[in-house]
Amino acid sequence: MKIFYKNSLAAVLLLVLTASVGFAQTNISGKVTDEASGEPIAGVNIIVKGRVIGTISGTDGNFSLKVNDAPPLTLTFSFVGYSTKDLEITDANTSGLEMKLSEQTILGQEVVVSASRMEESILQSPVTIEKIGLLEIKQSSAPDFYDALSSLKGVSTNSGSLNLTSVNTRGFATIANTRFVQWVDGMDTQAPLLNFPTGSIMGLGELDAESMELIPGAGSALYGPNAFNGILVMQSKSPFEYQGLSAQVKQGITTSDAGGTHPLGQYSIRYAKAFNNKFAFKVNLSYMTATDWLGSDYRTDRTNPESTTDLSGTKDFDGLNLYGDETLVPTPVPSVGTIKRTGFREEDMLNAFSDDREAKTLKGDVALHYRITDKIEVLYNYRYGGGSSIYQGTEKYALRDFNQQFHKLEFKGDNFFVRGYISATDAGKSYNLSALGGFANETYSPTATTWAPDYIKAMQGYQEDPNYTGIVIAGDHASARAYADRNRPAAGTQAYNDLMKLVRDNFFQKTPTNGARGGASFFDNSKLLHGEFNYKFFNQIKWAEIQVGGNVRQYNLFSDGTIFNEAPDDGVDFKRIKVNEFGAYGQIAKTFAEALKVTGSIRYDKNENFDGQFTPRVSAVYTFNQNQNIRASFQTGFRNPDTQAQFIYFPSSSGTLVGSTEANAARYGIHNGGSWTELSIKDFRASGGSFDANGPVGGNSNLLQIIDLDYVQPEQLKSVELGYKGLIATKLLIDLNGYYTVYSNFIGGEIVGNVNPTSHQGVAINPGSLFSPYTNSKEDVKSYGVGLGLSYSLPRNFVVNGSWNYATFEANETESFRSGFNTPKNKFTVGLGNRKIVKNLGFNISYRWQTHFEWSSTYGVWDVPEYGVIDAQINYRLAPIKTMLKIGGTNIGGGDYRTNLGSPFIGQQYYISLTFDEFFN
Amino acid sequence: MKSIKYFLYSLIFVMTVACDQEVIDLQEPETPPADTSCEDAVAGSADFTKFVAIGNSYIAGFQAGALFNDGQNNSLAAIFNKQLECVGSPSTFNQPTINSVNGYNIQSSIPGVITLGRLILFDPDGATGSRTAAPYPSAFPGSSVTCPAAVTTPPLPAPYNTANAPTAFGGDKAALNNFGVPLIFLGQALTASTGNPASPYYNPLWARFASQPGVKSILQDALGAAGSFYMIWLGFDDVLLYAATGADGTYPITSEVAFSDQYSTAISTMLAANPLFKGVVGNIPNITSIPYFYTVKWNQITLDAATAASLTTNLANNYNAFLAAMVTNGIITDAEKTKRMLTYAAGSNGVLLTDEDLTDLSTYMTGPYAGLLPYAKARQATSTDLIPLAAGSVLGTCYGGSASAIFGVSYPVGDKYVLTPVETSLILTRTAAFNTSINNAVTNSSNRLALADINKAYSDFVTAKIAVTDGVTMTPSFAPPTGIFSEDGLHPNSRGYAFTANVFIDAVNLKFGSTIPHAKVSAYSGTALPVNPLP
Repeated sequence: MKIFYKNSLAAVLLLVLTASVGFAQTNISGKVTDEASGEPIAGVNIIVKGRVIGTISGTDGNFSLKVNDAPPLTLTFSFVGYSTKDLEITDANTSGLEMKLSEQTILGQEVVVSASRMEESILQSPVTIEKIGLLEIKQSSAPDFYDALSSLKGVSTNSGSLNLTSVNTRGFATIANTRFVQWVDGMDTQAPLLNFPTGSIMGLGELDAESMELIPGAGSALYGPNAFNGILVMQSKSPFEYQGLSAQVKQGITTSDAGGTHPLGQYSIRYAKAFNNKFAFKVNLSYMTATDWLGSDYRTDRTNPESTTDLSGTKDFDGLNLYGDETLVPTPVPSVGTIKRTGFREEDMLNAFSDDREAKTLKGDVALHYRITDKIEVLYNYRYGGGSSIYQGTEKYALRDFNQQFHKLEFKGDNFFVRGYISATDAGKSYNLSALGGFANETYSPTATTWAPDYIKAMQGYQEDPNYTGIVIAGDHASARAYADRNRPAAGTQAYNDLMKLVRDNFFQKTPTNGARGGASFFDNSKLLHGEFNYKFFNQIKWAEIQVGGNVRQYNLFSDGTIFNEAPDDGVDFKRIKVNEFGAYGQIAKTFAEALKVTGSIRYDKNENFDGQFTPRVSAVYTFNQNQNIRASFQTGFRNPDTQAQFIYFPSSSGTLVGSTEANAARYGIHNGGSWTELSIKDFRASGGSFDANGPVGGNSNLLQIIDLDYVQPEQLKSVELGYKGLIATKLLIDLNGYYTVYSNFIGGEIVGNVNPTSHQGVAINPGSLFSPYTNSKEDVKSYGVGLGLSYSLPRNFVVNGSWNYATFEANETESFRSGFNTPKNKFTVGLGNRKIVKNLGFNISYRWQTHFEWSSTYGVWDVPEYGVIDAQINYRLAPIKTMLKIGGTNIGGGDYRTNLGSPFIGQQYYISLTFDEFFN
Repeated sequence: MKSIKYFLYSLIFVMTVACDQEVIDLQEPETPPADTSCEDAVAGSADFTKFVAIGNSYIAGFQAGALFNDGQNNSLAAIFNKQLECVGSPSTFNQPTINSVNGYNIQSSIPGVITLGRLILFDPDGATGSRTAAPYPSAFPGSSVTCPAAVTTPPLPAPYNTANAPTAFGGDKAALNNFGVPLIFLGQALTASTGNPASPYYNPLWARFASQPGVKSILQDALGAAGSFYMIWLGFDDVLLYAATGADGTYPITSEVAFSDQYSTAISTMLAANPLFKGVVGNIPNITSIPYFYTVKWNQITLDAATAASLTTNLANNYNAFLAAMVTNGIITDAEKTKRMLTYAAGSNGVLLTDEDLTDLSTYMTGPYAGLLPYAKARQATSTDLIPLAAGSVLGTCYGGSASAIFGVSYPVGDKYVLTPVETSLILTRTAAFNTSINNAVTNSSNRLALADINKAYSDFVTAKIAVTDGVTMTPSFAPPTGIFSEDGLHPNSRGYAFTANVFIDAVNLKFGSTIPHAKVSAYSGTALPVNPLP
């Protein structure tokens, strides 16, 4: 850490010293006005092309700018909702410039930077890209603008929590979408322990968000290993370009049949100021507080969610939102068979703590920018994101006061950037709900010594407890359960709260204290260190656009043994796990006959635990009739097994998850023929067999089948995409794309039992114990889809838009291999909006609908029923006080819905917000 | 306001297509059918208006080594009658009430010295102690032994600290339905002497409710009850008592001829005396189906390496050398020597026992061999020997207070603690012969009697090791919570009697076309869990 800063500071000083001498100067001043009304426009962005220098117009529309260079120069004037204009400056002293900007009414004029890592018209992007710009953010219906992503073409979202929306592009995603990357100002926001971006918790505040660009599909050729199925690039507002004070107060309610009605509040403030166009800073703070949605399905069986019979109360019921009932308890008594403990209800468990069902997000950042020269800007950025939410992986977690912090230092110019950042996560007071339930059960009544024997005896008609007032009926599971549960504290009582607190105060996989028999909290102090650069050769090479880049990265993991396997031998000496990787890429683009642009890129990545990977991409865009574009691309992508897939050790209800790199897994000996299939172990047990320290005992051991597992390797894809994007009669924007992707070495899991005895942290593990290593499927998985997006500009500023998306896949799915496509086959959205019906009034209304689909994850498999959602907002601008009033709602008039198995019931949100902006438009 | 119109149109458009997510309408699980135990039950060709039972301890409701209230209330006959209520039998089923919570344990009590009651599983040093639970008689006063180690056993806690000698039945003897009497040979059921205190056949448990003790036999009183349907389960004690005492001669085994004569006499007498009744007859189970004979294993002796080595040096080597000398001198055959050679090894070892079929070598155990005198007919048990449950309280204890003479280890247990293959074979052969007689009697009953093949039902159960009925699991042992035998290992517990009653019910239904429902085994309790001493 220290060294990192030292080096960077030295670099800053060096650059300052070398760049402080200038010679020629150009002075420019003038005024920006609205072409139609003639009124001055404040806050217009004026930058010098090819430089990092620029300014904004003041409240009276005036601006002045000093450039350390001789003319000719080109000024670019841009402002939200207005067409961007360029102006050539030839005189070294230009004053009294009159720049008239006109409101933008033509569709498809946006510029994107993510598709090729350079600016280009969205129409001419070589791959499918979606953009949510400032206007869309302002017009978004959802209380959190991040949720506007759900209405994009080719995107489906899963909501594990009110403030944790997970983006799914191209499928194969769970709540933890490890195949998707989210960048904020060039920083990868994935939590190094959780391995996925925590949605808007680590995103930008609404006031500071300038744009979100989303590329569905592989981005590995430019963005590296994890940009496998998509990337979201979020860009904040530069303090040079967006200055002044802005503030927002949002007050509303969330309401659902399951969870009731609760207040929601969101408060944001942003201040940015530039001095002399040289130095600028900004400060952001955004706080959201609400009560989370509630998952209160206590009647659906997690292992059999399609049952039309109410299975609650049956002997081996594993309730969807009940925890502590996950583990199957085999008994030697046939009339009892396998049973499960009685689960605790999610709402009761959460309610045992003062943080209850809180959903909150605190985001803030400080950025200091300094323009060393007109061509080099240096910036330092500290960013904090944290809060409380619910996250669902193999088990469900209550994230409580979870946070992630970033420090970034970046040098950038028109043709390059060099940046380094470090991110660190802290789990705060987060806990695992399943572990909390499971160990609460173990703590008040240990399964092996008390609960199961009591249950068995009660099933046989025995009850030993003289204080038990109920009736035990032999052969009756309900009465046996009631008897075995007799000492279970009732929800809401002090004893219940004390029990939950005791277990939560202990850490998962740590020696429990104070009488607990296990802990539920987990620990995280993992870090990600990243350095990268990009250089574009457009000043040196004119015949083609060439850029190169590269990065180094270190994952520096530490969970104190609660998640990762940091001390497998003795459980004493917990060491940080470090994983290093690097990558380099180059891209060349050439335009032929001013119509056909061909781009080729290639990237090489190497992770110390895996073989190096080359990922090429070739794309072409053919432009005709000015605004008609046909694009085609061939892409490759790969993804390294994430840090959990490499180094986890995590006992779960379906076997112990074992990170499956050789470095981690070799000591357990389950690879290369050291395991039996789970099915064969079941058969063996059914034949009366069991296991002791040496191996199988009794039964028919010939039933045991060896499975030969390899250590986990990266997964790859190859994808072809064709698309058309065009503007017809300046009124209709069409975006049509189709893709076909073949995935190989798909990373999944397999449940097996060890053949040879092994040990973990000095504790012997008998053969036949269930492990769940990460494996690569030998089956290729194919997916393909079509997307169509339409926007039509109606008279009087009305815009109607719609999109339709079709996605499907082909895979040889078996009991042991489920690809987890998790994407509805059909999805459409329609919307109507007008940001200026009359001078001060705007609105937006949209409807999205998706078909039912199979949700498959380590949490369970469920056919999620179809649903449709209406979102709408109406806004009114109060010009005299520079404030916009917005009233909006999501899922208006709809019922509760769920996006996946185990997710909460999502209801409606209604809110009213006031947004103040010093440079009010 | 054209724009407002657009807005409204669009609102209407989306509102009409909005759809709520479907929720699976979970159906209630199929509830188990209500208690329809009597539904559609028909009597068939038999008349169940008055049910009378005659037999031994199983009919009487004997369990856990005694006859006591709870056991009597759940006697085989009482359970059977409860099911007959569906087909016309009145709910009053009169038994000679014993009126004692813990009963009287004939085996353990010493008249005039100590009165002990039913057996109960007792864990003398609590669940965490080194000793495991074992059957102890109620009112056991506690004990202390010093050999081989000092061990104190506390007295049994309430309510198991009382016992009562049986008293005369004070109720209406003429109204009785149950004529089950524990501990009676077939012959005793047929003679009036069984009620005469002066007779060698005297049985006080019969005398206490005989209508005219010493004048009428059990059979006569049972016939006098004028039943329309009889359960007859006689002859079990004719083999069981002999077997349970290790065939040591305490009780005889009835001869085949005597049994055949007595059984045909009994049945023909009954059929003749009451020409209308129909009934069901039970045959005799093999002793190999009764936990009393397989709970203690032949190799129950567990030794560590040091003890085994010591025993080899101090006992086995001497004894084996002596045997070799006996072969050399032509006293025993080489085969007998091989059979008698002692071996001790770490782990499980055969019980050291006295086998009366071996050559008595006491004559030669003089002089330097005098110390071998206790081993005159000794050998170690093999897998073909059966060790009765009673041996369990003797194995491992000291003979004569000597820590070097441990029963079953270094000192042979007596004849009554082992059934040799010769004895077992005799018992099984005799059982088969008796069952042939029973079968013949049924065959000759002009279809008035059904045969309940208890022998097959029990041995099938032992082979299967486990059975599941009415949601409970049953095993052929007396270990709770699954065992359906009582603490004495010889008699079923209440659940076991329900299981047995169902075998009779099946036989009756098959023979007479009736549809008497099964007794619900889950409604009857199993052997009580071990109790701990008072804290």
